[in-house]
Amino acid sequence: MVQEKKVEMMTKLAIFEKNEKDKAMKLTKYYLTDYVRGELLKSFFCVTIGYLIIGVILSLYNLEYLISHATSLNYPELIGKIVMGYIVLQGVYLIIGMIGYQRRFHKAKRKVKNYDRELNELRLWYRREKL
Amino acid sequence: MNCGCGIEEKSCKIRRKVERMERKVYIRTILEWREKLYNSYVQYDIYIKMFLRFIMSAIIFIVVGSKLNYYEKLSNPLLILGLALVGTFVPDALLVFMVVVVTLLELYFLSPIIAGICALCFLFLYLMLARFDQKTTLALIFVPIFILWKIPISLVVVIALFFGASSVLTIVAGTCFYYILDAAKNIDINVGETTNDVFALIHMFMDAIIKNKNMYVMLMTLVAVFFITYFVRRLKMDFSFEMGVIAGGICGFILLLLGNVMLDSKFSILWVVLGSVVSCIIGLLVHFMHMVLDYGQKEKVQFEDDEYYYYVTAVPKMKMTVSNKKVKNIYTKKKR
Repeated sequence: MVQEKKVEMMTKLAIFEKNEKDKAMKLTKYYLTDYVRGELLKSFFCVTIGYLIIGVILSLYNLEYLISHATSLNYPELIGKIVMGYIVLQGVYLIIGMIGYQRRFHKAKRKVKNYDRELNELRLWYRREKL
Repeated sequence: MNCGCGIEEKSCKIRRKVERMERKVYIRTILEWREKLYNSYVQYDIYIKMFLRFIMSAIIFIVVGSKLNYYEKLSNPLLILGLALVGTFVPDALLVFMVVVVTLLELYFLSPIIAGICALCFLFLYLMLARFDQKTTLALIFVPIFILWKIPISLVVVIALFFGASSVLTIVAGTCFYYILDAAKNIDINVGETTNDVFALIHMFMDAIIKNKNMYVMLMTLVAVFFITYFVRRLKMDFSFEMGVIAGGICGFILLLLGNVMLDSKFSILWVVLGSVVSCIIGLLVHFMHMVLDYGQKEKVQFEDDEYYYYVTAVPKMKMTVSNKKVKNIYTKKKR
């Protein structure tokens, strides 16, 4: 015989699993530090490639100036500015990323906690049925 | 006591009461229509969503084809239809990728150098801004289209009402996307083929982007509108969503006007006014209808236990029920 209360609980759990399988549930398989580190690593590479792209574009923009002043440019200062800019940009992205990814992780954790609580209720239901 | 309308107090009170009841009936009628729409949407949600997505994809490719008409074959109606059909079924990120590829192909037939620079700019925007918020990936293509239609504030207000703070990055990327394409469209590419001419073209193109005051004013306006709408709608008070929409519209109007006055950006005053008003109306309409679009989605799940396989369709309930009262007048004959 179909038990309505049990089907209701199982349906809610199935809907959560279907919608959050690729989001909250996937996220909470990691520890917080591992997840944040993984995302920050991706961010690091993306910012590096982005910085290289902007470097290429700015070089093309100022190419005439660079070629005409190639011998008189202060290269250590220029390289220092480029490296400083890169470090500052990476720092900003890493700090904002750390805060953002931690919040995302905790939000996902809360959702999965609710899911676990409802799963426990279903387990209790099964135990009562067996008794 | 005279209430100032020349009628006695009691009649005036009755008249006001009747007006209030009429307003309530009017509002109730609108809410009932909303629920009827909601019930139809829930019933046919898969087909309606597919149809709307097809229309959306078709509009996107038609706008790209008509505004960047550098290669006639890409504006072929059959090709646009095919792309729109594909766009109906693919994820948002892939649709955005398709639009970017079509755009770059069009620009290639304008100038391969411009197309190359634009490709680098788009990649930069994606890596640094757009990749952080997956939910609003479509804003990358819709922000440019809404700027073209002079109502970008409406889209920003809607995004601020329903999405998180990180969507502002996609809005910024979409705005830059528009002005890069605008610069590519307006540039004079009649240059020679020598190396110096090529570098001059690159310099001219980058100047057109970097020194574009309209872009900075629009960026500042859309970011301010987003944050004002976002923070007002999160306030714990009645009508916070509606106040957020109106606050965003007013902020957008003021900032665009200030941009015209102080930074000499060239936004048409008429469109600033009309655009802000239309944006507020669209924002309020979307908020009113959002329950239909957001919650009117059936969930189909399947699971099993020891005894049965279950195939369940869960249909969300609406809070307001349609009045289905039927008034039956029973008249009895009076006995004389």
